[in-house]
Amino acid sequence: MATVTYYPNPNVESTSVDGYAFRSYGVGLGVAWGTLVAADGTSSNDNSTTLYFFSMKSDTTSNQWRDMYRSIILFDTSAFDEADTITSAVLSVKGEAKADELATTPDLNIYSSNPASNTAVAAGDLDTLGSTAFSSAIAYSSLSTTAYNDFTLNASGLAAIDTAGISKFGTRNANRDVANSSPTWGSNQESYFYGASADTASTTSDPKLVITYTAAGAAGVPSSTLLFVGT
Amino acid sequence: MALTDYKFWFIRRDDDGFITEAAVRFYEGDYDADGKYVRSKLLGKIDLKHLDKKFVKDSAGVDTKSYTQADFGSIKTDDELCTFLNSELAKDTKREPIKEQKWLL
Repeated sequence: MATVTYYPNPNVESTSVDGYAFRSYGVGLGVAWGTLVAADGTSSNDNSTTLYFFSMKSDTTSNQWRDMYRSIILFDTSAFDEADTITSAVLSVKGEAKADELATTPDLNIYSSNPASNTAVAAGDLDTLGSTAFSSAIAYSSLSTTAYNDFTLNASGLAAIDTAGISKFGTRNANRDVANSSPTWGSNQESYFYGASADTASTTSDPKLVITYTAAGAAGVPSSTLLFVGT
Repeated sequence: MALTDYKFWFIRRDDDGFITEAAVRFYEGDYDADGKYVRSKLLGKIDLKHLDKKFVKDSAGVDTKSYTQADFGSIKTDDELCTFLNSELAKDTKREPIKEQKWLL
């Protein structure tokens, strides 16, 4: 099968950004878990070489929480020939580090995103990520910090590919953030997973979307068009 | 001298895995005080006169350099494509490739 691999823009963006947004409360000013999950963002970054795929942090006050991070990853898929048929797609992100001080075995999955701009990530984009899983979550123990983590998109994920424009995805922790299920609190503890953005210097670690497709007219030659020569 | 590098927009492969087309963006930048390479400008047609004139427009209408097998031959791997693109970077007499993109196979 033929494939086409798309990458987000690094800064300076033209069409499709990658970056992260987060909510952070000060020490001693934390909130209940559900409030943190639903909160607007307070900051963002779209020119760091790092993408925080998820991060969550507890406050020093019992059962209060301070930080929530999610990433936003866009691809300009407008060059895809709309006459071709997508058969599968894999979104991959390269990991660099992880920690689980909260002992909550946080997993990672892909979701929709809808940032205000296609070329910048703003704090307010934090709560634009969806909650419909676009793939099977990768368990914490399987999250690689040295290689790509591959998410094969399901039907919902495939439907999010915009062959006429920008395909918008994001990453969230599934079992605590999306599930709105509080980890067991411990004072000032953090669980996170981060990796490489498109702003790295090389081309070997950028987020990527590999679409496998059947080219229009490639499914076979109709028998009516076959030409027989000779006797 | 300013520094330069490239990033992929897309890489297309045929049924046999051969790369048939690559759309590439070239940038100008410099290392910051922390040693991080920071891109400051997306190079356009006017900045890339040392390359041939084959471009495709992205969804924002920005010209993006396009390469096909007529340029890089029959190759399958990203490394082979990068080797070709590193040689393209080296054609720029006004900018120097970043160290990560100076290697050739």
